[in-house]
Parts: sequence; C-alpha cells; structure tokens
Amino acid sequence: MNSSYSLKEIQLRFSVPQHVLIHLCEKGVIKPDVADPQGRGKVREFSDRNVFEFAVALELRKYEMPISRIGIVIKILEAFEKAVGKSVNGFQLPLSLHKGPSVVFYLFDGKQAIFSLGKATFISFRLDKLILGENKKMQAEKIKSLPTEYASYLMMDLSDLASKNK
Amino acid sequence: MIGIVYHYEMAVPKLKEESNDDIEVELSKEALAIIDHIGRILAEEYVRLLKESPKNE
Repeated sequence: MNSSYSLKEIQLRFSVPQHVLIHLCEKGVIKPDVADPQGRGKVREFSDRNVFEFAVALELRKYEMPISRIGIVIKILEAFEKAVGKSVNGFQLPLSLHKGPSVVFYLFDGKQAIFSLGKATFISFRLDKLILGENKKMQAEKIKSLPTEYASYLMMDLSDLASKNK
Repeated sequence: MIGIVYHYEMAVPKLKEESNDDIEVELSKEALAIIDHIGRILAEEYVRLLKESPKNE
C-alpha cells in the first residue's frame, strides 16, 4: 500500500491508451492522490486508491456510461471510504474492501443505481436525477431486494474488483 | 459472443443513447451533499455488517 504509480504504469496495468486515462483525469473523474500536475514538466502520480478508481471507471466505460455518471460513482466511493474510516481504523480502498461484506453496484435502465452490501442490504437512488439537478426529488433509500421489473441490468462487483486491484 | 451482445443491448439502452454525452457536469452543492449522504448511508450499513460478522474485521 501507499505506493505511487505513473501514468505509464497505469497504462500498462490496464492495457488502455494513455489518452483514455488522461481524459478521466481532465474530466475530474480521477484526481491523482500523489501528485497532480500544476505546471509544465510536472507529471501525475497515482495512489493505490486511484488505481482502484481507474479500474471502476474503465469497467463502466466498457458499457459506454457517460463520464459524468462515472464521476458520481467514484465520488460516492470516496465518501463511503471517508465515512467508514471514521469507524474502522485504517480502512482504505481498495485493500480493506475485500475483507468485509461484499459491495456490488447495480444499474437498472441506466437510471436506478443500487449498492448491495453483504448481498442482503440494498441502497437505491436515481443516478439520472443527480445529474439533472433534480435533487429535491432525489432520495437514497433502503430497499428489501433488487427490482424485478427489468429483464437485465449492469452489475459490477466492487469487492471482487478491489481484490484484483489491491 | 452473440449472447454477450444481446445482454449488452438489453442492459444499457439508455446509456448507449447518451454515449455522446461525455461532458463534465459541474454538480451543485445539493448534489454533492446527496453524494456525501449516500456514502454515509453505505458506510453505516457496511460497518453494521462488519460488526455482525466479527470474522470479517
């Protein structure tokens, strides 16, 4: 942990062109933890958490999820890490994630986002309303199970992804 | 391979339509507060589940 990775190292790890990674940085989806270039000649350096964030973002990009929505998922994970860290000493993404209850992200109809925890607790919210600024109508709520009215959905096992990118 | 394509088309039709919507959206303070709130709810549940399963700590 607490390693530092160059853009080249991230590129080799995920086998993607550098411009894809730079695009995610320039759009504010990934903010380099170790070094963020502020002037000429400075280079980006990334943390283990950044590597995990790239893994999440690149997985979602495979399904053509817009950058803005990916950014929200990443921001929620940041808020989650910060909040867990207040109760669990040393909790860090991605290393700590695979040690606890499984965390899975679902997206139904490109709108309804759900995080499942331990395959028993489901937190649901409308991703599209966050983007559209319809915040007054937006509420995160606990639901008893995954929706059944959809024929299919997008699923990303964050614990598994963390395990592969720790 | 056909099966994978079929699943993709079924799973993310809305996302595909919006694939050109690759712009950075500046989130409002309210949206950021909601994101923070979602993160906290997830954390509360995660910590609760951790405590219920001591072997996971």
